[in-house]
Amino acid sequence: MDLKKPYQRLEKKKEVKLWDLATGFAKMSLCSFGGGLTAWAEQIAVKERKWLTDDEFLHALAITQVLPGPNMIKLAAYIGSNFRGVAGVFAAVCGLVAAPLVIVMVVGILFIEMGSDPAVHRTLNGLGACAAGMAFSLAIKLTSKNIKDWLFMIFGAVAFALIAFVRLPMMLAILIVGPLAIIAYWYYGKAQKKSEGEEGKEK
Amino acid sequence: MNVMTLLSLLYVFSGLSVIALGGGTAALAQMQLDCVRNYHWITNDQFVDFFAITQATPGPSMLIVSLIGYKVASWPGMIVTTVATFAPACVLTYVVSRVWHYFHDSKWREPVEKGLSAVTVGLLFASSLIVTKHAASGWEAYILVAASALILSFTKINPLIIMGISAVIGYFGLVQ
Repeated sequence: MDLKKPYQRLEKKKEVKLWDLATGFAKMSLCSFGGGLTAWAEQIAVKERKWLTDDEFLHALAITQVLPGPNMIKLAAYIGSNFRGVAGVFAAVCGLVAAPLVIVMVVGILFIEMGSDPAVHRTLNGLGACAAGMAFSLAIKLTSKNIKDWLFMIFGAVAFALIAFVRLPMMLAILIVGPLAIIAYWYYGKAQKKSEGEEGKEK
Repeated sequence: MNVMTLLSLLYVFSGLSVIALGGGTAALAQMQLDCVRNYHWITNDQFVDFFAITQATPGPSMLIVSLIGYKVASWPGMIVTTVATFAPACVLTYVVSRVWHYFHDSKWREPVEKGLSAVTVGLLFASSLIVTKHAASGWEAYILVAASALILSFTKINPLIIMGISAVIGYFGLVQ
């Protein structure tokens, strides 16, 4: 198969420059003090730069979620690849990693030398709470787009309950609920097409 | 530091990247075991400190591997662990995005995207809850989590402003 064929769906109307990919991912990375990186990814990629819609963002998240490896790296590689192929992967991932890597190394080496300050620790508590709130707001936003889709709500709720209450590892929850949800949507789609077809015949 | 150390770093961290199903945090326990118990590269306290640093600084928390690499084998170690962790995920994602594009017109595309999206939203809620439990240990902190969630969901205020306010609230010791 021809893997070099450019991806059509996300970039139908959009031409994203490599430099924009790199700076966009660098920005979301640098904004995510105390966590909340995925929520920042949505904020920048969807709201500020308008590379994708919320639905496309959720699909990208869903596809990369089932692969092994660090989540944000996969999301950056996926979006980069869809817009600009191999060069896009490099631009997005380097943008995402380069600046935080410098910061982590500087802070880490200082920390190894000097130890930490309680005021820093307190400030991080506040930022951590905000990042948790931001993570919730992303989940709320992406759910609200699909709130009328009852299959979506049921499978989302089951996946949530399995992890939050039954305490299954995330991957196991994906492996159990994912295939069931895919099959349900498959039959649901078929049933809908059939009923549309019958309506067509009546007319 | 020698070539053997670098090769063991390469072996351990590229392996971790591949087993990290469900995201990087899933691999942390194994990473801790390998680095502390199996190879005696760092102490457990160092691992915990490194984890706190990568949580606190912006960017992916998997950058903990860079700190470990630096500690074990200086700058060459940092380069080896960083590349070994991130490169396999990039290559795999690239291949999958191309294959997925190839199946662009398949009848299965929509059910797969929708089904996995539903599961993903469940995961996002669950991981938000887990992050909240780690970040907050008192009703003041839970209120701050809830307030930022509501403000960020239902207003268009820039998240940086909410983060600034939260940092100040934290600095004055109002949340635990």
